[in-house]
Amino acid sequence: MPLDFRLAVRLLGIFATLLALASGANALPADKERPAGIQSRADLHEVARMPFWLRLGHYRSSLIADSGWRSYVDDSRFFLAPNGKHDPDAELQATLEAMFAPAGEDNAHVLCRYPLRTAWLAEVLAIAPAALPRVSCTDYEQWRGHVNASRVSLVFPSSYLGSPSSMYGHTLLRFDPADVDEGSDWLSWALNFGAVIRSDDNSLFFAYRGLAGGYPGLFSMMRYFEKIKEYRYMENRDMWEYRLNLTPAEIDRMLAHVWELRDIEFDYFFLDENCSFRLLELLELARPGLRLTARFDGAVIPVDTVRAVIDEALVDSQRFRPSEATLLAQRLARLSPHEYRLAWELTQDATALTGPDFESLPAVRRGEVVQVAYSHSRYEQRQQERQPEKAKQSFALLRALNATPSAPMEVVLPIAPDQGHGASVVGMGAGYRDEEFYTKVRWRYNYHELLDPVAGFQPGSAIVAGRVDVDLYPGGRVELDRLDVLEIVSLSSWNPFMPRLSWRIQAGYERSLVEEGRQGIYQVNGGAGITIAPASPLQLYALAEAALEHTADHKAWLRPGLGARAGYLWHTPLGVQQLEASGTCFYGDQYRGRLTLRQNWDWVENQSLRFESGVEYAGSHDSRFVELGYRYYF
Amino acid sequence: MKKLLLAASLMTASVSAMAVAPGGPDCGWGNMILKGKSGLPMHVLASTTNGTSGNATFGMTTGTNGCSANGVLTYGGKPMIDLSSIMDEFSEDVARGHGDALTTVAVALEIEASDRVVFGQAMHDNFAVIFTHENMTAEEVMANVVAVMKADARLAKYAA
Repeated sequence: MPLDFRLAVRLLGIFATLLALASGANALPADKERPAGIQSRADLHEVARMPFWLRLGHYRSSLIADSGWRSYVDDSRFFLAPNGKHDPDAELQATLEAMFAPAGEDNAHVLCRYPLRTAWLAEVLAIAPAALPRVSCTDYEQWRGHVNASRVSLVFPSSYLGSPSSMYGHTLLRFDPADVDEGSDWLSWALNFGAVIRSDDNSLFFAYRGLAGGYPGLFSMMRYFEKIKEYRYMENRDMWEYRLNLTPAEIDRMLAHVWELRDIEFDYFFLDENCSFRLLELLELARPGLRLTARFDGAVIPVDTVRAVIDEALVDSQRFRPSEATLLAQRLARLSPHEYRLAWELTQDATALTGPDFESLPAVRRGEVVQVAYSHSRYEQRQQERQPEKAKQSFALLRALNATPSAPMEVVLPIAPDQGHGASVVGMGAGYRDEEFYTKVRWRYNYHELLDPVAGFQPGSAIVAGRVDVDLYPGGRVELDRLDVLEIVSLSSWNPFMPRLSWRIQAGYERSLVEEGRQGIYQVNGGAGITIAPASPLQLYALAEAALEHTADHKAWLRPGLGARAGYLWHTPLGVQQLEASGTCFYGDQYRGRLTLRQNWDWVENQSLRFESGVEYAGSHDSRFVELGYRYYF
Repeated sequence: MKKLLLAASLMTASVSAMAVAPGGPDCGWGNMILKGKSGLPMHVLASTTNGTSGNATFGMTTGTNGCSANGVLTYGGKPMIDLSSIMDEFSEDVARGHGDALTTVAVALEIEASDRVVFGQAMHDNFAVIFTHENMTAEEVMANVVAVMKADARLAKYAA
């Protein structure tokens, strides 16, 4: 902490004077010879502009506010000055004055409410502890006793199968006691920043408000096992834990500030002022030299914050905590076809436990088969309300689990999400369509497409928010080829133990071949179906779809259609290959079809080459293209 | 973990525990094992807000499960970590004889590291004594856990 001693002494003088004037009190052992002057006020102003003070108040510069400052905190209870939200100087003044107020009621004093703010001011202004009132902060001390932390981990629950929108992930912090390795991290404390939803809210507005603001965001703490329950068991999201190398003093600062934010509301915004951004602010208070929040201008994608934290050399070690679905999938892959069939029989009828087929298995294999059957029954029932019959069946399998041998499972470690490609893309390409050459320029805001390098992502999942492809033709003709607002694809391989639907939805503008020729079409389409994985690198899928489109040329303003789509995704060592055929019948007997082959080469990290070729049919017309493109991820 | 329930407080009759168990059915100690969906926010909500339903908790008490008004969960009149929400995981670990939930319960009961293997084995061996039917509440499970501990020479001291 930069500390100008002479400045501090002067400031102390000002305060003594101010206080003496205000209350005639005796609070400060002061240097009364130095008069309070404009110069000194300017010095105090300097302190109020120190980065740490601005961070304590969550201030950022603002073009809108008259003062030029605005706090992220949207809760008047956080500020001691009436205009504290917009005025770091006034807030500092108010804090200083309150620091010297008589002790009063336990826990109510500003020294108890703002342990970090006041400690920092006391340090910067060289206020001796004896100069401050003696206060009793039992609530804070008791809380710090509970959250007895000497280690901190950043936890990233990744996406769950079937819901690519969770691909953006989430982050939270975990506070471990010193002896956590000899104890259980399930009992550690988790710190989560999230929107608080009142139960009377209409669910239709959940997503909208989550995006647009309107929910208060609060920090909350709970035992880590509550989070394990939520992610690992209920939502089937793998958890990645990054142990940070924060020192005890840094953790102390972080927790002191967390206390200051207790019950304090921020507006919650999904895109930028989200869970992950707030945690970066905490880390910057813990270790002031870090450059974390400044890296983000606009959307804050949780996995990018993990990368930033790794980049700032904060991470000591990493741990993978698989979801129940991941464990079940890995267990299933280790069963022989015979065992697989037996496990399925057990899920249907627990009396198969006494059948000869099951009993003739070696004991260790019986244990594995029962575990799979039990895990499936729980996987299924966690998605529904408790049903007495199902509980009875689970209990029979639980007893069988108790009667067969079991060994801890060796988990196959997937590639960590922080190793995945960057979410944004710029790219160039060259192609040939219908006897014309063109040059392609593309940009994507985020996040992951089916053909992109799959390391760190779920195979068969895609989510794209914001994508623009522009074609440049010789002679200067420029065509917007596509503009996707949103595309979500979830191709989850179906198996009887985890019977998941596949689905996709896409909305945007696209140049397509229609009977009148190639035209720009505003459209939204989507569908649902089934994906199977006959071998692990290969996924075959088929979806039934519906579409709604609008073009300037249509007689009808909107044109609905029904169609189907089928293809394969093959995760080759080079990169993903996709062959896809789709057909749609639009209102007015317009039939359109499309066949596309794509091959990606995951060239080097964050770069790829992609070959694409396809043919479109509309009535008696057809249109063909072939293209080679380069993509850079960042 | 001095603030946790000492096993001694578990010893007070389970009947009286019932009386102070906050919440009621499907809540705290009233939670049944082998439970289904627990009313978590729908997925789209969870993925856009990462939110919590109801009031935010702040680790102010030893047990916070959102069931009781003040967030304090008691067992036999004493505050303790609310382990009721991990009873499903505990039952699976007891059946297998290993796992994180089993370790967690041992740590929460303040069983020393050197005795945790004994605890795990005693739980595993007495699975049928602890888990007698599929509609047990967490509170009934805890009472049986304590009974098994009392009957074990090495573990009795943690339950007395």
